[in-house]
Amino acid sequence: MAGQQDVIRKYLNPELINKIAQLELNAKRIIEGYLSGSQKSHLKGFSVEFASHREYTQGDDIRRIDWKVFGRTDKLYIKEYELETNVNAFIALDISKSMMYGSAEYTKFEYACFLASALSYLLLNQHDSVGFALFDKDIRKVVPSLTGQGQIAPIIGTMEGAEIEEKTDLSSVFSQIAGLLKRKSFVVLISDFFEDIDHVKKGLDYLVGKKNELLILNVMDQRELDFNFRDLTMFEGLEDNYKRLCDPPSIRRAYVECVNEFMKELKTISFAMRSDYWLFSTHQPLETALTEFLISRLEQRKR
Amino acid sequence: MSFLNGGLLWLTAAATIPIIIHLLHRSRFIKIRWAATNFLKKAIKKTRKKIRLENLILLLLRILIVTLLALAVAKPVLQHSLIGAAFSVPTSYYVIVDNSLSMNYKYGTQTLLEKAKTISSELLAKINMKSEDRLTVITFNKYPKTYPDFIRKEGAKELIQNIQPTEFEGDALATFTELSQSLKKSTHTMRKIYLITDLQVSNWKSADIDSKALGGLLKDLSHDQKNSFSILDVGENRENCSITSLTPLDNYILKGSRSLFTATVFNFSKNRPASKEISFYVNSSKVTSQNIVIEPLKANTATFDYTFTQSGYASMHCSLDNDFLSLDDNRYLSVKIHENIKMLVINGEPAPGWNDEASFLKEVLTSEDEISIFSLSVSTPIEFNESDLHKYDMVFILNTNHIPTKKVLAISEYIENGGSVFISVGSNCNADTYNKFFGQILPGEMSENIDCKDDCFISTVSDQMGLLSDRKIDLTNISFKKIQGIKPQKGAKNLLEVVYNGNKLPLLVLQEKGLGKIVLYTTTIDDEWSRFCFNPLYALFIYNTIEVLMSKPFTTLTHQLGDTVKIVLPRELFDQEYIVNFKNTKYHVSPISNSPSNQYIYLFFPEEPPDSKEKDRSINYGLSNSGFYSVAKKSSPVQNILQFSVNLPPRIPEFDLMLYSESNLEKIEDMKQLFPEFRFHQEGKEEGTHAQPIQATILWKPLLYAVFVLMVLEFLFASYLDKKKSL
Repeated sequence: MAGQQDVIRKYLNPELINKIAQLELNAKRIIEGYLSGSQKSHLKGFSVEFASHREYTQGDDIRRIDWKVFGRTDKLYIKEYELETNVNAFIALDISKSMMYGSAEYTKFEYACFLASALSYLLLNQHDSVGFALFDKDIRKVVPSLTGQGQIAPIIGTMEGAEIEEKTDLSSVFSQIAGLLKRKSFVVLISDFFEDIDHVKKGLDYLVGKKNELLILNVMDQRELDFNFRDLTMFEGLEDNYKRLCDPPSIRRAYVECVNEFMKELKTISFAMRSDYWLFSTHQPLETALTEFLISRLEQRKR
Repeated sequence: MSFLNGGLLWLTAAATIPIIIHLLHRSRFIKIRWAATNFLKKAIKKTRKKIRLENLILLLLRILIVTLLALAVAKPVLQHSLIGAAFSVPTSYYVIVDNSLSMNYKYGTQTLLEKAKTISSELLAKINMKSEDRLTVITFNKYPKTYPDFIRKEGAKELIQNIQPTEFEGDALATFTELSQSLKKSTHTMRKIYLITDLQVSNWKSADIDSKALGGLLKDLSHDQKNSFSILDVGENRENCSITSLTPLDNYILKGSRSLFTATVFNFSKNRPASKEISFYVNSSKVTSQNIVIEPLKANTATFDYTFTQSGYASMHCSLDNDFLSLDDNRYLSVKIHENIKMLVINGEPAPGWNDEASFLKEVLTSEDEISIFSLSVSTPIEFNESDLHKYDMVFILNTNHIPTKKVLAISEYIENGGSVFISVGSNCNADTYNKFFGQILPGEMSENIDCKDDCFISTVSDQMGLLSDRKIDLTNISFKKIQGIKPQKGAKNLLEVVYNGNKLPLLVLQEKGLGKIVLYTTTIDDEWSRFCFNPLYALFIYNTIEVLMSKPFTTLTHQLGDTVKIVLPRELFDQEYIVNFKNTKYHVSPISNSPSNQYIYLFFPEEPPDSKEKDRSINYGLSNSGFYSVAKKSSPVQNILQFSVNLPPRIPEFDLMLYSESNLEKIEDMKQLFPEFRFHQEGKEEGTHAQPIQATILWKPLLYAVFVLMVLEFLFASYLDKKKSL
């Protein structure tokens, strides 16, 4: 039991928890849920928070007629209230070999694990249900969706026991995840998305087709972004047998252009799917990056 | 293309250094396991061609820099024929024909100069002269001449065929200076210079100072990209012997007396002794011949004697059996045969018997025999005729206190023009008067008499001229009562001295003035002479003094090439014009000045005097041919009034046929060492007619410029690439 606590503490740093505890991670679109949580359902009900008026139609519950309005206007209006509900969140974490690269303190995989843990904590803390899966070219492990802080332990345990062996096939694995989700979910995808952009789009299409809301969290190493190498280098592929000797400064500009183009396309795709895209660099402290991301989400919501 | 430092061509292997560095650089890399291979592949694909091109350019630049640097060190030479054919530009042609002494060497039927003319004809036939081209001919010797700007090569060809051989040494510095001046006048963009020479070593490094000047000049000429040089080598290395002198052993030659002559022959060969027959001629008739053997680089002499039966001028010459250079196989000597030695005695104290001042002299110099070598005329200071001075070989002035100024001037001029004067002071002598009247001819300033009181003796060690031979010790018993004090002038020599009170006093003082000599005897003639002259050695003393006075360069009437001869004639031989005969050529010479006393006439031959302020080398190079010259009045051209001989200098380096043309590379290297910037080409040389033009430019400077430009380019390009990478 003590060992499990240590593992949880490894992924959920108290400082990080303190910093993000006051923040929220909300789905942008309203999603129906079983429990009363911080997420707002599109279903109108008997909750306390007024939503809007509409004209009375036959069959409406006469208890919901706003008599004060009738007194002023002599017309019947039904009073509608928003129903606060929980969200069915599902976090999918890439454990392909490419996630093992890291030029800083952590590999992309480790960074992604911290990120997934923090988000799980945040969602569970909002009384949302959180499901979790590890994937490479297939779904490797799944933690069924549940609410309550007790869910954090199986999620972290799954990450801790992850075996990194394969390369990704995002198109295939995202369709598998889409099939796994029985209800509309708030799907958080944490990956480097190192695959052909058409494949990525195809996979995302599966998820969006099931009315899920997507949050695309692109985890990249800073070296993968700026390609800041000086010496003559032999690059050996993590996911394939690719080997190439090159002078990095000579191709840096072209490389950075390729990366930027890829991220731009990924952003465009996510925008088209009304999803959110956020880039995390492993060189950036997670607290800072996550806080920045959450605040940005909140500000978007206010707008 | 050839190379001056071909041995350094291996440096071009350094061109591989950039490639090796490149390969070494590629073998040192780090390994990274990389995730974003897709981006890497795309970036590489996108940039591969460009990077390859950039790297290739950089590598080529570096290889070029190293290669060109190595080539520059090897000093490549580009033959103009390779590039000249491609362009047709106005061209100045310069044909320099060596007509120096060594070009007189004759092998087979042709002299080197004739061979040079044949080669120049062949050369001119090959030159394709266009209307704007010009051709200049320059002769190569000590006094080069330029014949500029022939429009048609036929004119130049005719001129070259008429170039005469000279007896001057070759002088590369003088000739190339002449060429340089001619080049300055040329506006053409291409100058082709052909030098037809036997490449005598002595022409190219005659003197150290000149060599440096020549080296600098050649460097300038060969660095001028407009110039291309061709050496057409006509030289051959053969052995040579030369007669370097022919001299009489006596100072004067008398009719009827047996005279001895010596000829010196030098063997210039370094290896073999020479056996030569030398023949002697008098007035063109062979008198005798001798065989002599001369060791390598040594001289040997041959002596013969001859008794002249007629007075006047005689021509003597000796001759070797001809070798390859006949010019130095002859030596000429003009001599004047005296009937006897004519002497004028100006007696300041005529008296009867032994009291006569000239009595002792007469006693010694006259003979009761019918044949006397001396002919004495005695006169007084007033009576002697100064116009007749030139007729005397010597003049004695005895105990004469005063001579009219006009006559002193004539005596002075007589000495200047080759006369001999013996002055003996006497009891009439007064220092002040002597200084006043004879000051300009005396060998020193007279002072008061020193009364020796019989305590003054001839020094045992002061017989500087050997006048008294080895018997001088016998004279130490002769004492002198009085000695005339004298402070000898600068240049005057004491032939005899006496010792008085431990001091040496001049007894017999000699001074050379102009062509003549004067001797002053400083003691009185009567008392001292009465003791001295009865001594048997007195005659020897007088004869030897006469020998000293007669020993003068003019007596041999011999001059050297390049000299300008000053001919002095007595007034009585005056004519408006004179004729100098040399072989079949007559030169007309006008007298250009009279002497101050108006007793002599001066002629200069060749005419321009060497010390003229307006001396122009192009007018007067001095005597240019060896042989006999005779002078006659125009009014009576048959009668020779003077004769002189002209010879080559005794030993000039050009007698030694040291040629650069010999297929001995060490000598060429030697020349290259002397003039490293100047190219000599021997490729394709054939024995006999080896005329191979080189027309070449040394390319090392352009290569260095190219290296510099490439280095700048490499720096800029590398900087550009670095900057691009750092973005």
